[in-house]
This record gives sequence, C-alpha cells and structure tokens, in this order.
Amino acid sequence: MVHESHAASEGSYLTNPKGWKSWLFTVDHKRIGIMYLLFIVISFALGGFFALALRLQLLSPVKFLFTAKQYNQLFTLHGAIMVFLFIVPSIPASLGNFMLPLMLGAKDVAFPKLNLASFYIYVFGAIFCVFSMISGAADTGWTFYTPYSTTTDTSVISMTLGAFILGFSSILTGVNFIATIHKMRAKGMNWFRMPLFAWSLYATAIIQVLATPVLAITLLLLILERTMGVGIFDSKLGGDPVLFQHFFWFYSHPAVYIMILPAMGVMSELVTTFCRKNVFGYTTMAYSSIAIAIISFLVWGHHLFVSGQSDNAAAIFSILTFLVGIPSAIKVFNWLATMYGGSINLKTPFLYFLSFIVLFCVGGFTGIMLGALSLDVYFHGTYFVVAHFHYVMMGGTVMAFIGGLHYWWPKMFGKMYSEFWGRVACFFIFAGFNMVFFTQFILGAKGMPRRYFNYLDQFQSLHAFSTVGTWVLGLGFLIMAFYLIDSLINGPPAPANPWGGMTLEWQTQSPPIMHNFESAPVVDHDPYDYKRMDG
Amino acid sequence: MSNQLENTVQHHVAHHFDTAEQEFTTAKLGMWIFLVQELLFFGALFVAFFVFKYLYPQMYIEAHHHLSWKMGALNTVFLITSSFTMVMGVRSAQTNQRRATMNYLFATMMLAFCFLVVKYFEYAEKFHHGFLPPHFFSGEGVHQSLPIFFGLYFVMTGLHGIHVLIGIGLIAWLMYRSSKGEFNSEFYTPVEMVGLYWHFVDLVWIFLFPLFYLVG
Amino acid sequence: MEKHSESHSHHVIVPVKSYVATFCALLVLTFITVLVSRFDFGSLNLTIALVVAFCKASLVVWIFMGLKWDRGFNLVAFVGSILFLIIFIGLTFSDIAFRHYRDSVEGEQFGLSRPVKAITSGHHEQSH
Repeated sequence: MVHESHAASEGSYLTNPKGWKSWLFTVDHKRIGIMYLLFIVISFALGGFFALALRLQLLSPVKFLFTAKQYNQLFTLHGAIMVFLFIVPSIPASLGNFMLPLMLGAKDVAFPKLNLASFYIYVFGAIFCVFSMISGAADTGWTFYTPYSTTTDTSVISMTLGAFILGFSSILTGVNFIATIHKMRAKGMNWFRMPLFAWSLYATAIIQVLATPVLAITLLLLILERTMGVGIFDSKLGGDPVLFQHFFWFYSHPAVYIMILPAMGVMSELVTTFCRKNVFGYTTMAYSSIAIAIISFLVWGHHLFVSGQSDNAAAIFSILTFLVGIPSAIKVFNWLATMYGGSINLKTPFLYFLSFIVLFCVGGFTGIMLGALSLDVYFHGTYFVVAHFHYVMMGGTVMAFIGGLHYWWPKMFGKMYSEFWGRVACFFIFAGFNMVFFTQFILGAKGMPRRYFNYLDQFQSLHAFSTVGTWVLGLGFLIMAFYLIDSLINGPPAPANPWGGMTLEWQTQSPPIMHNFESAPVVDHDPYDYKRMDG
Repeated sequence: MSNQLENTVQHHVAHHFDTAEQEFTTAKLGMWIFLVQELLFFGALFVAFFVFKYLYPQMYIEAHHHLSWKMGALNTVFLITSSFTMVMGVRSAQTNQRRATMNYLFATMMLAFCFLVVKYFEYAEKFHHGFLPPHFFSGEGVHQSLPIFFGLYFVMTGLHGIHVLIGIGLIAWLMYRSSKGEFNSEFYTPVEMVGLYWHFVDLVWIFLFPLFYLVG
Repeated sequence: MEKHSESHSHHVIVPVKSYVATFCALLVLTFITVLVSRFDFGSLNLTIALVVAFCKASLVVWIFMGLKWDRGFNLVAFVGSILFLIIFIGLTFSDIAFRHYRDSVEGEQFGLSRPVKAITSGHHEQSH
C-alpha cells in the first residue's frame, strides 16, 4: 500500500518544495492546515493567558490585581479570542483542512486558492482583534450586547471589525468544504462510505454558510450604529436593543454547533480506531450531524429568556431547545455502543475521547436544564451558565481538538510523541478542568453572578479552588507543549498507520506526499469495515 | 467570425480535478453556495426592515414619500436590462462569439454605471434635505422614529451599491480576460460565475425597490 | 468521482428568445408593480408588492441564473436558504409580534410600558 521508495524520491509535503515563500504562497491544503494550526494554538495560548489572569483576580473577593474595567476587558478579550480566533476555526480549519481531502481520497480541496485566501482573511481579522487589544480593549463581553456596546468608549469597532472579517474566513472555508465533499470524493466513495469526520465537517459547513453572514451583518450594523447611527438598536429612536440579541444569537447559537460538530466527528474517528470496531449506527451518526445543524437554527431564543422577549417566543424556544438533545444523545449512545465489545486501546487520543464523553454529558445535561424556561430564569447570568458553556466548549471541543491533534500528529508531522507524557498531561488537564468548572456549577447554583470582578466573602473558598484549578490545567497544557515540540525534534519517525486506522488518510505516507496519494484511491467498502481488514 | 479564433488561450484543468466538466460544476456549486451566504447576509437586513415596518407602519408610509419612486423605477429598469445583457454575454461566450461577449459585458458595465449615477442623485437629494442616518439626521418629519427608516435605507442600498461596484470590477476583469481570448465554448467558467453574481445583485434590488420606494 | 451524476448544464445553450421573453416579462412586472402602487389597497399593498417581486425574482433565478437547467443540489441549496430566512423572520416575529401582551400585563402591574412605545408612541402613531 505504501511505496517507501517513491516517497523518498518525492519527499513529504513538509519539505517539498522548500523555502519560506513556498509556505506563504502555498495552495496545498496540508500546509494551509498547518499554518492555521500554528495561529490557532497561539490564539489559544493568548486566550488562556487572559483566563489565568482573570481567575487570578478572583482569588480575592475585593479589588486585588485589576480594576473593574480592566477585569471586564480581560473577560471580553478571553471570550472574543477564544471564540472567534480559536474555537470556531480550531478543528475545521486546521485538522479539517488537513484531513478532509485525505479522507476523501482527493488531491486537494475544491478551491485551493480560496482556501489560502480564507487563511489570510483570518490573519487579517486577527490583526484587528489584536489592535483592539492594545488600543483600549473592548469591555462588552464577547456578545457585544447593545446598548452598552454602542456607548462604551473602549475600542469595540476594531474588535467587531476583526470578528466580521474572521466571519468571512469561516464562510469561505464552509463554501470550500461543501464543494469539496460534493465533488472531490474518490472513485467509489459514495456519501455513506465517507468517514464521519467528513460528515460532521459537512454539517458544520452548512451552518457556517447559513449563519455566519448574519453575524457579519449584525456586527456591521453595530459598527455603523457607532459611526453613523442606524437606529434599529437605539431605543431613544424607537429601535429595539433586544433585536440585536436576536440577530446575534441567530448566528451565535448555531455557531456553538460550528464548534462542537467537528469535535463530534473527531470523536467518531477516535472511537472506531481505538476500539477496532465499526461505528455503531453509522447512518444515524451521519444524519444526526445534519439534524443538529438544522435544529441549531431553531433555538437561539433561549439566550433571551430574561431579555424581555415575548412569553410566546420564550416557550417556543424552550421546547425547540430540548430537540437538540435528541441527536446529541444519539451520538453519545452510539459512541458507547461502539466501545461495547471492542478491543479498546487506551492510547492518549482515546483518553481524550473518554474525557470528552464524561465532560460533554455533564455539559449536555446542564444544557437541557438551562433550556428549561423556568430553571433558566434562576440560573441565567450566574456561573452555572459559564460552567455549562465551558463543559461543552472546552470539555467538548477542546478535548476533541487535542484528541484529534494527538491522533493525527504522526500523520501531520511524521513523528511520534511520548505516550507517557501524553497520559500525564491528559490527567492534569482532565483534573484541572473539573476543578475549575465543576466548582463554578456550585458557585452558580449558590447564586454567584457572572462577569463581576468582586463578590461576597462567602464565595471565596470556592473561587480560590477554581483558580487553583486553572494552574493545574495550565500545567497540563505546558507539559503538552513541551512533549509535542520535543517530538518534532527528537521524536521517532511515525509509521504510515500507527493506530491501525481504516480511513484513507492512513493509506498514504506519514507525512503525506504533496499530492496526497501515489495513485488515486478507489473505495469499495464501508469506512470502518474492520472485519474486512482483520479477517 | 474572423476575429474569434485569433490569439485564443487554451485553458488547463487545475491539477486536482480530473476533467473540465468536474471543474466547471464544482465552481458553479461553490458559487451557488456563496450566493446562499449572500442571501442570508441581505436577508438579515430585510428581517430588520420588516420588524420596524411592523412596529411603525405609519412612519414607513411617511418616510417612503421622501424617496422618488421614479428614480427607483428607472434604476430597476437599468438593473433588469443589465441582467439581460449579462446573460447574453454569457451566451455569447458559450457560442464562441468573442466580440459579442465584449459588447454585452461593456453594456452591462455601462448600465451598472447608470444605476450608480441615479443612485448618486438620489443620495445627494437625501443629503440636501437631511434625510440621513440618525447621527446626521436633520430632516423634518412627523414621526420620531423616522431616522430608523433612513438608517436602514442607507445601510441596505449602500451595501447593495457596494455590490454593484464590486460587480463593475468583476466585469472589467472579465473584459480584460476576454480580450486576451481566454473564454470560449470549452471554458467560460468565470463569465458564468460573475453572471450568477450579477443576477443576484439584480435580485436584491428587485426586493429593495418595491419595499422601500413603493410600499414603504 | 461522482462527476457524471450532476447535470451537464454547461452544454445547454438557451435560445435567445427565452432570454428576451424573460426580459420583457420582468419589464412588464416592474410596470405592474409601479402601477399598482399608485393605488392604495391598504394592508394588501405589501402583499401585492412582495408577490410581484417574488415572481420577478423567480424568473431571474429560473431563467437568467439557469436553475431550470441546473436543478440538483444548487436548487436545494438556494431554496433551502430561503427556508432558513423564513425561520429567521418567523421566530423573530414570535417575539416582536407578541411582546405587547407581556408589556400590557407588566405595564398594569408595575406601571411600565414597552420602552419603544413609551418614547415614540409606536402604535399610537395612527392617530396622527
């Protein structure tokens, strides 16, 4: 299957062609994926730094390190950077860009130049976000709610302009992926022979294309409101500030599925490879991804339960919100059923899979709680919401991102990392994460409101425990950074298929050659047909 | 016919496609998906338009009398005609009539300029009477929420106008490539794609015109 | 690759008369919508304008943009996106159109009224 001799003559995508210019102007989806990965990791580190800083302030119930305004700016920067620069592009733009064409057996994405353009649009948008950071950072929270965002004197415009531009990067990636999946599949790979990661990227791309333009227009309206006035969010003129929330969440609720759907796809790949079993209920897995994408557009109003929307709307949105639980639960049950009777291989990526299952279930169940209208009136605006969000986004998406990164690391860089340190880091991250955020469930249930830089003395021990948790979490990521960088320099070369995976990306060299495959692959079986491979 | 086959450029299918057919249908699919996002982009603004039409029906009726339906209708005719010339331009490219392609593209571009000229006069009139977005609004009206209408008017027609400008740029790019002989019945993908874009710009105006100028 | 399953649309060369007919129909519809707007049909004004605009848009999409010969996923994508726009409008109006109920209840209890109304007399403006 792998022709070592020919690989040696052509060289991997990493070294052929050589020179920094060949990277900056590359249209190779693998190189673009790696460049995205670099920027995404930097953004994650930056957002994480802000998180550490604001948790440090919360060690004390009174002013300690930062003023109230600085604290507001810190959590805004943390939120905006983590959402727009890290988590939205995280899995699709880096792992997805790298893996999608390989998994489909294609030479590249449908529009390689557009792919490079979306990368540079991302960088361009990031520059605006960084500019906001150094020019009086926005203090509105990452949701930019009016009327505060139209009146505060911090640099809201450059931050929203950055997010506006980043939105187009996301849209173009979505366009590219839809066209790639429709048109670039290898011979014999029909829709139901596609790996589930491709299905989840397809569902993600649907949301990116349908929802992101609404964010773009919302942020544009906000910018115009600040510069020339539009009036529609301005209650002085008869505008409606709540309409901003409708507009914002029409994007941003589906957007959390932009964040979690690719993660679910990674999970499906991990479970099948490390259990050496076909995914239980492949078809329902595929359809549930699409179902999540569609239902995600029907539920945005659950963010407005206490914003003054009509009772009718609140009731409708509450009922519709429960619907999302169905396809999500189908996925969790199917993953568990896949593990049943499988020959489980507890490698680092699979540890992240297990972390994901636990944390995502906690996040999902509390999501159902928050979707219930009556409960939300109590929990809204408390740390309970913060904890729920982080359980889904960090416990879900980030765990999957790291799991996927470890899973495909040998393929991407052709090096193996230290399994021992991988497990150590996973332990620290899992333990630290729960210290930080489970505590916040308790804080929220006790009534601790979010977004305050000071609090009542009675909450101090819980807040301090949560802050110590961030250090454990940070230590875990630090260890990971060390052993991953070390693997690039000293790591043993990776075989083509270190985990015994079935999907097409494992059928080529590690790292792959520039055109991905020696000869165009032909598919004549289901994506996870381990019986065929083993027997 | 003599001018049609000189200095033609052979199109090469990009390396990651197997056939020209695959390349063409992929480009077309990508363009349609891009238009889907454009539809949601403008669609959100129409949602805002309807929300405030529902809240302040009388204000809308007052406000739309400040817009000239004659100019709007004239611009509608310009854009519809430009859509027609665009589609004829695509057809000429499909049938290897290079001179006709150039002429139709040029006509489309001129009509787009006419649209912008009319738009300029409309905007100038609004500036003159102070019917501007809220921060600069100084017009006289009965309803206090009147600036919202003009806020929406300028955002929606402004964004549409920017799309027209981009369209002009794209058509100029097509004419440049066409003059080098790049388009023929085997390869006219860019003409077709810009055509789709241009029709979409027309489509947006088809809704903007009656909503702003006629119904209010 | 499934390249042959999709349409062979780019081999379709549409007769000029189809385009001319569409063009004329669009002009006629524009004339109709302007003409009708000179008369007041009350609340039907908007409906009429939207129906005519929808007809014009359909002609542009179907003939000029060639969806008639394209079909397939392009049609699904475009029509589907309109459905999502309808969801957007519909669910937003489930709030906007019913908010006055809550306003009146809370207004009676606490002497509050909807902010937009309080300042600009939203629905009272018919009295002008």
